[in-house]
Amino acid sequence: MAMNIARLHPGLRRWLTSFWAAWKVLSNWTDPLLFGFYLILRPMATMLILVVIVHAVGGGDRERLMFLYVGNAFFLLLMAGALAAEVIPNDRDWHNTIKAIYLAPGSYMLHVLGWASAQLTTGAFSAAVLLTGGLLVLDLPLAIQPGRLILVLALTTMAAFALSLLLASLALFAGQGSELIRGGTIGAIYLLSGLLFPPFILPSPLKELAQVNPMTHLATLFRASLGLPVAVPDLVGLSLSVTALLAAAICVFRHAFRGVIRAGIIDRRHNY
Amino acid sequence: MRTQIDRARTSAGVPGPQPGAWAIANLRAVRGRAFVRVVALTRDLPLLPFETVLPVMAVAAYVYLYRYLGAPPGLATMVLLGGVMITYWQNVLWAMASQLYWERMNGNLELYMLLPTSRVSILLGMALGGMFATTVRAMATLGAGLILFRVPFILPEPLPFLALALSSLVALYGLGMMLSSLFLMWGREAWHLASLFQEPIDLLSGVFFPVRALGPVVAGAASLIPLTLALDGMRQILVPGGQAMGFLPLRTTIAILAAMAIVFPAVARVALNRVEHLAKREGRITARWQ
Repeated sequence: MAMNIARLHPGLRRWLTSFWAAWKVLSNWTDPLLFGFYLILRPMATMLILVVIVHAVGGGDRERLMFLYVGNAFFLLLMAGALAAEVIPNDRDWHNTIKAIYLAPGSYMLHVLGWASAQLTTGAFSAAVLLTGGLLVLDLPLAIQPGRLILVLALTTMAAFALSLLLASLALFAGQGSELIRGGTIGAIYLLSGLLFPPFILPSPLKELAQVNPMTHLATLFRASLGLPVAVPDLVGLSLSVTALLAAAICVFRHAFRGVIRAGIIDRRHNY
Repeated sequence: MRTQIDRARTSAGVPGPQPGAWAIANLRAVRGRAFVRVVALTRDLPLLPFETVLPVMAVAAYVYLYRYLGAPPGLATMVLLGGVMITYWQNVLWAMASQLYWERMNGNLELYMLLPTSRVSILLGMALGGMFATTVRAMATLGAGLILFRVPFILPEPLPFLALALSSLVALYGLGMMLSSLFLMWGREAWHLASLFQEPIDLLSGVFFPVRALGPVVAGAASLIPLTLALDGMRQILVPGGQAMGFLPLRTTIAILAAMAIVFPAVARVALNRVEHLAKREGRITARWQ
């Protein structure tokens, strides 16, 4: 039975329609087979870079390879949040629809979260393919622990939403160059989230920054949920810190959005 | 087109253009298109940390990964150079290859087609402006990396380095000029193609490891990308003991890059003429959503 979307709450309707539109924009530029290949090729290339490094420099250490491999699969979920910030240049510069979307019923923030949800869907698909490849091709001893996996996926979704709102806030004020925001943020996440190496390798104060970063603990919990021998972080503390991060991101986005509306620059376009 | 205008002027009794006016108009077009990229360095300040500080963090992640794996310090210099060169590649991808597509979406492409100058001048201006702006960012990344990581770095032979740097930049931006026309013809897939040319190129070009680790066949095929050879050559010159990690001899690397620096812009010119033909004769290419 078809769902009558008009009967839904305006907020839910906004989120659903944005999710659907984002999925269409992300996926319908080519045929499904090529799109699936595209989703796999990029993360696979990153993974191969790490595998080559571990084999060329680290002598093929399996334990370190596992650490890197699972950390990098987790990174795909976080990156979905960073990628979702592209909704701003998409609406403002590409489709010239930002004013219309702003005027439509429901919050613009839910529109950003709809985009983030679509990006998370593709990110989760890529991560699942990579982990399956690790299990079948590289023979990595992964053992899923369902309870922990559900918890970490829920918390990671919240963290990715927070990341998308924070970066979208910045994109509202920045001109052309959303790829720079994404690229720069990816670097910071790589360095400070314990994805490639344990945080104790870093010098102070980067080590301390990595230790207070909830994404570091989410990465650890993700590794634990796949059966890696790591110390499970404090789940209550982690849930609280991720919730606080999301709450802070919502406040920042609302403030930034009000700022661009008041300054009259919501549809300001750059081109150089 | 210039000849038709000249004929029309002559038949109307209007004095013809001054000698060299065509060249001056093209030089102005180059300057005008480069200028916006140079001034944009200071006009988009919210992006400044993302262009300078945060790329260092991506490089730092790989530097600490190498330390975690117990690699010698020379490999950290290699990663730093990879981080610097990837700045140019990103600029080539996003601000050269995708630019004409972006200009079409903004409505500027039709204006470019109407200009009484060569379209190559526009692309050359983009390339020169992009090179300047990216060099500023790349030097910030290199300087910050050298200070923060204290990695060994040498420049024993400035002349080969200059030849390598110059041929690398011309080859890279020549490739960008060529891709810009192709991306325009490929339409909506351009954006995704630019995305697709990031991580796989990082892998094939050996941005974070010596390309010879991929083996002679893959590394040889990857040498068709100027970034691969540029990185390989720079590491041989600037990293202490870097010749041991080189894939091709330095002279060969410079010679191939110099050849690419001639071929890519020449192909770019042919591709641009094709785009101009499609735009003017068939009314395609310049309109949005085609």
